[in-house]
Amino acid sequence: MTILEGRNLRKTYRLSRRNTVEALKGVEISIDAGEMVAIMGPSGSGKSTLMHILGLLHAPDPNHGPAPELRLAGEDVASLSDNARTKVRARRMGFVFQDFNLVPTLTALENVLLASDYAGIKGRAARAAALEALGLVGLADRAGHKPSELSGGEQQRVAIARALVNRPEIILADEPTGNLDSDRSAEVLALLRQFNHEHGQTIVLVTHDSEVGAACDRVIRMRDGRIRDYGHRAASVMATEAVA
Amino acid sequence: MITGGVAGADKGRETFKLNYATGRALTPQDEGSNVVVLGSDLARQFKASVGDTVTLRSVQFKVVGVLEPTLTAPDNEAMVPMAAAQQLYIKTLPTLVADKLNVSEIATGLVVYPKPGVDPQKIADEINASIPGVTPMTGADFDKQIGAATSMLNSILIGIGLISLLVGGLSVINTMAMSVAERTREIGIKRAIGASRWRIRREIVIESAIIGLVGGLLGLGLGAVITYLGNEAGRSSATILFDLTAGTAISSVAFATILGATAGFIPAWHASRLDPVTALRYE
Repeated sequence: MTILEGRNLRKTYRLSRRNTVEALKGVEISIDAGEMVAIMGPSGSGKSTLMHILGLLHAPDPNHGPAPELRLAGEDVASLSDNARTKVRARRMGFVFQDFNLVPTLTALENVLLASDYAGIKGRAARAAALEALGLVGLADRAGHKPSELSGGEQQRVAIARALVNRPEIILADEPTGNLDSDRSAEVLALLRQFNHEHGQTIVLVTHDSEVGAACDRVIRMRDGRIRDYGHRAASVMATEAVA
Repeated sequence: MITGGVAGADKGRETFKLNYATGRALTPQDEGSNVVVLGSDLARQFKASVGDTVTLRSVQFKVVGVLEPTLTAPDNEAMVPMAAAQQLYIKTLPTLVADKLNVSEIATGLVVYPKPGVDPQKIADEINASIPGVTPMTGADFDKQIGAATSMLNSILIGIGLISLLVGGLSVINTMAMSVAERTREIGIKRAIGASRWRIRREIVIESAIIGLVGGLLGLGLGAVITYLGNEAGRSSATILFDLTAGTAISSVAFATILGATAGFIPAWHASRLDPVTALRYE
């Protein structure tokens, strides 16, 4: 089942009055439920932009081409308002960032609870789910610690717990191992694979790390705002079509 | 101030009751003698108590009573019998004028007590119309006079208060703006993982409301201390200027809280409009 699919995804950023950047020039993508997909490419290839659009952080540009389409589990999310996108993000998606991005004044548990809170889950149910999520990443005993008291690897694991706690349909991770040494990176990668294999969690990662790419079911390669390689086993056909 | 009157002449109509700390009140039998009842401040000034002799305008008077503090005019009064006061008064007039007057007919003022149910203003108007050289003052006129003075004081205090509030409000806006700027990344994270704009605004407004509340409580505490000290310092000269009522206390703290919340609104709005992606990357 296709969990996330997009067509005609374009994004141009305006840096100043005359300076614009065409980050995404027309992308078609399809992610199946239970897949762990890596998006790789050099800087400026548009991979982060694609991630932001898939994660509903930005809306795809409607003009300069055919109407963009974006569907999450079959539902149209391309033309949602900012508020509606926020709701979907809160309830149906999980995010992991390169810089861990935990709220420094909250404990690990409270950081995870933030995600529950924004999804409208409170009280004992939220607490139980948060503790369970922390347990799944092996940090149940550090629930009361603040990020400053945790190592980089542990902070990223808390971020993963936060991303998981609402059992989202898809987890989007932007360079999740970017700030970690190789041991910690391997740990985090193993964790993500575990969730993907054991729980069927759909994961889309943006990464520079080829080891991370190798651990995924497929690698989508981007260049200059377009997808060059979809990474399917029957990749050769798609690749020639993509390179226009 | 020396006041002279015939004891009991008001036939009990005077409603301002005087309490005596020591000694007694003047009686009609005192007419003709030089006795005095001293107000609390004067007694302290003269260091006089009942039985002592004090000199008023070079005339000796025997103290027969000392009043309890009233925090108003009587504290600074020396009350003597009417005849004694008339004698003292005529000595202050130039001889040319004094020679033409009959001592026992001098009065510097008359207190008129209206019969119950009679409108004092009507009496005042009649006096004005029919008796030359006399200006009647009703209780209402007196209130207006005193009121003018206190309302000036009130206006000054309110003015100072408003300026303080303005400065305080701007201060909160500034503090919250800085706080938002420092937490740009945090706001980005929250928005990215699903916090609505409204949620972010709410967080910041609540925070600034709490700042207002805490500030208000601290200010109230300080103000209460100053009020107490100020009143104590002025008590000896019967100048009690400040009154801290429960209403003032509650409304000032409420106002501070609302001011804090309002001041937080602009930074809150700005924070909620941040693009999550840009905010996330903010250093």
